[in-house]
Amino acid sequence: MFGLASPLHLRRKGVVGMNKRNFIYIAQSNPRHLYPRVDDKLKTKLLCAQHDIPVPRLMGVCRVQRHIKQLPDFLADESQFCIKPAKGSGGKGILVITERQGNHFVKPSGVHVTEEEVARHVSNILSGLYSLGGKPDVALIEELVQFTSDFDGFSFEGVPDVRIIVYHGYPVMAMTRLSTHASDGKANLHQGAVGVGIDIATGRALKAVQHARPISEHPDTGRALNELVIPCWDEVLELAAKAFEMTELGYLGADIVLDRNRGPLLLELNARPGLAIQVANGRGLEPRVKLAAKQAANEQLGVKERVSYSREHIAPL
Amino acid sequence: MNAHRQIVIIITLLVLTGVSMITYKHRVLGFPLFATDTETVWNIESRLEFKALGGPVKVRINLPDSVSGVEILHGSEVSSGYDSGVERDHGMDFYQWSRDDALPGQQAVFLRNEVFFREVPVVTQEKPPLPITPELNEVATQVQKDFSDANAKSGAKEKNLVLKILRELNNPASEHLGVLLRDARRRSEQLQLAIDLLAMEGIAARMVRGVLLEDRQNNRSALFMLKVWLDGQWQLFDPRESSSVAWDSFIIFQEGTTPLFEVEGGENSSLRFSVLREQRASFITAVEAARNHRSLLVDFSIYSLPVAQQGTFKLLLLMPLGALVVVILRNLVGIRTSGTFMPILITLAFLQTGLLIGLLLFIMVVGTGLIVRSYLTRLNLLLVPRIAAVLVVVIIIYGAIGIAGHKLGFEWGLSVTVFPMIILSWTIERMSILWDEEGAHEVLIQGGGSLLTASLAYALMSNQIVADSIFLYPEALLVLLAAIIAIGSYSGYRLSDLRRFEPMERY
Repeated sequence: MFGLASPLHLRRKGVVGMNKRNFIYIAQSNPRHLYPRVDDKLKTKLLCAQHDIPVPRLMGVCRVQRHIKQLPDFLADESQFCIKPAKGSGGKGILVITERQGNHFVKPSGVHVTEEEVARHVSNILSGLYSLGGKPDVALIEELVQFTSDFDGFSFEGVPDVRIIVYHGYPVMAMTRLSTHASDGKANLHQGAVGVGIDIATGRALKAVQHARPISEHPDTGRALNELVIPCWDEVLELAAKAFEMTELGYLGADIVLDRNRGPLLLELNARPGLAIQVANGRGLEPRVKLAAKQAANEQLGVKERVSYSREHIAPL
Repeated sequence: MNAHRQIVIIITLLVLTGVSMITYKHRVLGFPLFATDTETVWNIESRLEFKALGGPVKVRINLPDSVSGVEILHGSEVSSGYDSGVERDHGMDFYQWSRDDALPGQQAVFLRNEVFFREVPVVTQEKPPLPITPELNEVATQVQKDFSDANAKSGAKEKNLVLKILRELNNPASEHLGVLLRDARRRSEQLQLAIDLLAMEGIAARMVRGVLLEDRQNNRSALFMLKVWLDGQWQLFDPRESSSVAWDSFIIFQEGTTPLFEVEGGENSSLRFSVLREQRASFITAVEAARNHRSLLVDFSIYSLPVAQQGTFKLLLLMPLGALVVVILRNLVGIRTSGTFMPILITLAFLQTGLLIGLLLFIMVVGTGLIVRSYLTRLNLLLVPRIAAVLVVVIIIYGAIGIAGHKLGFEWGLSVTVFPMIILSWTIERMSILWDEEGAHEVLIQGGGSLLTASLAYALMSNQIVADSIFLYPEALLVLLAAIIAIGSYSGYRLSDLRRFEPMERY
């Protein structure tokens, strides 16, 4: 009615709203002192190395403004890389370079970038333009992920990733974000990327939404979205579940990409994952979270056991 | 104890405390429930003039006795060079001015009283003893006996008797009293005669002096009235009009043997009264009355501060209302704003400029700022210098708007200075980044959300009734705090959740 959902209906579905997410999930499951483990991507990378979690390889870190002078030499032999702020959020400030033409770098969209522009971008990162609260930051230079071809036709110009919500170690809900022409190659749902809910049990597509409205085909490529299957699904789930031990955060969003050669890689973690995943799945988070919380309180399980519990018991809810 | 139960207890305590304090102030201290109620206040100015002889001077004016249902406030006397204050002597209150070295010549002191009536007073206190039959000379005794006999025959009731006596006193050719009136020319003598006559009938009466409460009376001298004990209460009678007078239209300054005023060290003194009627918000008089009574709740409150500071607090007390609006719009409705409490600061500026002009100025400053800021992006500056540069630009824009407005005859342009410039600089910076990252659409959503929040907060905070009421009952802040805590622990859906999860209806 009036373009609004009935609160009774949503409650019956167990849909979680912003207040409940902030007040119960985040505030009660995520102690604030643990936030730096996920908010600072450099810390996350170092932690991942300790816990044997595969991530895109770190090529270098630019910590102070004078490092920027050394940047052209450092990047002289590189043609594919990615520069991102350690404390950025929501994909802000990420510069992806896929090609090199002489002194120019080329972005995935084909736009040329000069060395000076790269240097300015790094300078902006260091001065805190993209960090939370404008605090000084460092810039990470990462190896570019060699994306698997499994998503061909499902994504336009961009890089699809898989977002998995992990509650106290149990994967409870998953989706993949497919970039579109409208989203300018970014996997950002606000900007028009397509969100496809993924069945925790099988890794298969459930429902797809764009701008929070259900769709069945990719708006640019026209491929039927229900044919989408995430490869190495077991590995993907285990990777996400492992992030719980590493961060100790009870309510966590793990973003995972699939590398052609190395398999699933953990791209980044989020202590405040959004709620659009519920629309993409057509399901509410609440019953799944409750079961996961109950199971977590009952027995301490290893990563593999947790994943199989999720696939068997949490996925059908 | 878990957090939820604590929250419930805190909310209950806050609401109970707030509501009971409000109830106490309303019921016991007589504060009006809404600041819209008005009541009549009589301003009585007493002007005592005298010719000082030189040397020490002491002047006293007798103060009205306190009567239940009547509030009389003294003060704001303008008499330079005198020490003044309320003094008490032999159970009577009077206002005293004193000075050691008055120059010889004409002097004047002023006393300002404010009088208002909670209810029409009924004066039953101080029941008089039965009057003693006065000792009079033979002529008088004979006249009174005749008069008394005549009354007994006509069987007039006590009140009518009083009125009849007063009428006779105003008639020099009176059949009964004419003889006596020849010796009683002065009003006080006539009234003494009336008192004697009433005493013979067993009715107690007294002579009083005071001021008749009629609007715009200037330069009046104190009037005599007769106070008569009838039907178990004192009633007032006006000897000039031979009529009864209600207690809420006369204020007694002098009664019995106490002098109305005394002047030591001066001569040729005269006391004159001016009366002015004023209609004003009843909470002002309630606050003043409570201060007068030294009520603890009022004595240790913002009303005890100097008036200028009270004004500041009046504005501060409104801030929580703005915070409540922000909390409701963000957590119950789900409107996105640029900066959490930036809208309140914008509202404070709106309160000084007015809504439309405020919105116009805001859009002018932020719009121009965004254009300049988009150029600064290209210069590749570090963060802090960049915001500092935006700040300088903002101030230049302020100047430009002010000067251009002045030259073009729009004086409102000058009011741009009330906007908090640091906040505007940050707003411009944040919106500029938002524009780069999320696009103009998001800037419009957050900018519009901020202005909508600020406008709603303005509508609430600029409302005089709301402002007066919260100033009247600052305890309401406790209830407001409870509401904010309650919303803070609300885990249900926001309106925006219902909108965004609308597709879930179809599954």
